[in-house]
Amino acid sequence: MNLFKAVAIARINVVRLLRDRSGLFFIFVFPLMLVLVLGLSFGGGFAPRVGVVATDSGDLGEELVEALGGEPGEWEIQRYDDADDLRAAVRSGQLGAGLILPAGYDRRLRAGEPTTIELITPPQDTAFSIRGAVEAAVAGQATLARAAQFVSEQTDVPVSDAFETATQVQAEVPPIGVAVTSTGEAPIPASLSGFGLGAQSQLILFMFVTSMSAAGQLILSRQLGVSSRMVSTPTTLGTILVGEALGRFGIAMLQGIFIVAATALAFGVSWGDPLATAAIVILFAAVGAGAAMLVGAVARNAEQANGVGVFAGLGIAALGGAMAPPEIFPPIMDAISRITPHRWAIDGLRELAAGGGIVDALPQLGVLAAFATVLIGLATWRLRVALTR
Amino acid sequence: MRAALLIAAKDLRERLRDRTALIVAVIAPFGLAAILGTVIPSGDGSLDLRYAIADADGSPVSTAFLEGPLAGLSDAGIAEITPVDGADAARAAVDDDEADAAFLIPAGFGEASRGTAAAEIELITRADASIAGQIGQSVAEQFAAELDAVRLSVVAAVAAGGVPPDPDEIARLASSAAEASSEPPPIVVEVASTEVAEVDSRTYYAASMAIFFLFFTASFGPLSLLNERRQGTLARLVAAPIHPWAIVLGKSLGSFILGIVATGVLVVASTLILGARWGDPFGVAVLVLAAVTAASGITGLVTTLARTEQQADGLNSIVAVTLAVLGGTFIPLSQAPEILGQIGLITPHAWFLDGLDELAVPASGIGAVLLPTGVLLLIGLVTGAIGLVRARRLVVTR
Repeated sequence: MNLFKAVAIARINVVRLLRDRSGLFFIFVFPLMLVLVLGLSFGGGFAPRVGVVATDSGDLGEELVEALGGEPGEWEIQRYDDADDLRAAVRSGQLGAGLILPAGYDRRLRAGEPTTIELITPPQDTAFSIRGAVEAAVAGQATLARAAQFVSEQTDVPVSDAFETATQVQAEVPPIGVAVTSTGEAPIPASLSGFGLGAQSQLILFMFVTSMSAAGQLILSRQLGVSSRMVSTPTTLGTILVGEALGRFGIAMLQGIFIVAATALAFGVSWGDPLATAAIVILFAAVGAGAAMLVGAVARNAEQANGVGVFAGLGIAALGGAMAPPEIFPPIMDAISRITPHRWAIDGLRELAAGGGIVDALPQLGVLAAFATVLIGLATWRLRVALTR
Repeated sequence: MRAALLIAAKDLRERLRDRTALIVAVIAPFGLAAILGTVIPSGDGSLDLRYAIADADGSPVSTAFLEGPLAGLSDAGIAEITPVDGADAARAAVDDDEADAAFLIPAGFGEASRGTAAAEIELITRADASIAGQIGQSVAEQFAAELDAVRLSVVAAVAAGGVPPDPDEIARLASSAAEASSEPPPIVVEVASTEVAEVDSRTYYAASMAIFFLFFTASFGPLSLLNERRQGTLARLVAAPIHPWAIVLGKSLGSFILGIVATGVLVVASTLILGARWGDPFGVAVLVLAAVTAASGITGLVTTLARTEQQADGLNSIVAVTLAVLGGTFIPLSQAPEILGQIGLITPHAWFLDGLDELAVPASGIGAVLLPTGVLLLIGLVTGAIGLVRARRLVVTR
């Protein structure tokens, strides 16, 4: 085998891809666009949004809103000035629920007048959790109002003074409370907030799809007779095969390195241990190269290869957790997703982002290496047949 | 007109023979919708929570918690409450996924809550069952706040009265404070359930994949014009006694029909096989027609901007995926910041999905989709008109 020739064949493959302007968009622009939109949409976590109208509702109104948004990661509070806007946002699904505090909420509570808060929720059961949180926060404030009412009835002190007394006393008496202890691990670790989740999934999705889209090139070379001519030159079949494989591998690597570097620089994504990240990217690029060569060897025409390759690539990505995070998959799909190399690569990246090193990702690296070996082996065998036919 | 129809029919026949068209128009969108619909939990909005409770107290107070708020959860049909024996059993139940969360009421809780000592209900939650944790916490906090109100009433009354507390007096205060807690609450939370104009997730994925791939399906016609030019068959068509408009119309009509048929097949197949609910058939039909018009118009215009088939194909793909991302077909815009939602309104994708969201409101009909339909038609007619004029020039100059 002539390594020099193999590299030349590989190089021309990469150059052909880079000459295609629209191809550049899909390699360099589109993945970042998706990471950006994903990060903007889900980067703040998956907390439901609660809209609040609290105009002129005073200190106690503010306190209530704070109490609601206080539990970290529970509800994301969004302010609205207009109750109708709020209703429209709940209706369109932008808000999980809407809360309208009456004007003068603070004054009415201190004066011992009954007050009504309006909570607008979707009809689903899931709204129950928001309703519960609102009722709990309200109950905390109602405690003071009840005590003030009681004191005023018992001692003839005006309700507003009694409210002050109750507020002072509340600080001194130990409360009856709830102590929450959490066990287990959150399905989506906090280390993946921001743009991390999207960057990991898009890396895997695009490396594979780009490899697949390069499968068509191989068929075109075969159809145009370029491959046969290469075989007729004093170049061994082995050299040609290595060159073609290296070409695919180079294309996948180019995109992989770009996405990792660009998301780290532009969006501050922390990938974790660089060596182990490189190992996953390299092995996954080999998997993509193998799959692309196999399709290129088996498919009959370039359009077929491109069509089937890209759409199969998207389908496998969806199945393997590179579109929606596998953490939210139902158990059966979670098991099925493990037949895809995507799932193993994503699991490996998750390990690293959580602070793990190359040792922690060894199982995933092993599975990816096996995928790569089998795919490249099969592809070499089929391509050898296709080229010499 | 006959010539246009003949050209359209010939193009359609050619498309249907080529399996790539079938893959792009029907199989790929259906397959992706099916996969995404299965891997992402449908979230039909019903809750089925499991709580364990270990009551080590056994006082009237803890019994009130069990028979009040907890019984309320199970009566509402959202939770199943299982009493367990002791804190360890409760923890084990949560760890072994037999319960989503567990309440522990420590011994002496009832006694402590009547005096002024600190008292706590413990709640053990599991991080991957966060809704159960949130609801459990709310329920316990609400119960604790009611106990707190009684305690605070007594202490505040003593403080306000300025008299040294006398045990009999305190007992009297406590019992009337406890009575007062059954009075109507000072703050009432009025829950108004609203309809939500949003399709369920299965329908969302079917619809978003349908509109996404529609932009590839619709590009077949305009692309074939460039193909015929390259192969020289366009020059022959022009040489025949056919009006240039007939050629352009025929080319557009072919992919227009293919787009309608493919989307129609997707609507029916996703309804029957994937359980999608598209809403009022008449409204859906009008919306699909308008969406195909918009997709045909845009792809027609984009294609005529390019010189070669490859260029046009690349440009079309770029426009299609960019509009799709901005229009919320991969990532629902309801999750995105408001600004992205507003940007989305420049895309036909967002209007199509908006229209379907409106149709998800029970008993809504064609009236609900008039605005989205109008916008889609406007986009289609404006871009389509420019595209047709440019395509005619392309035909005339070959």
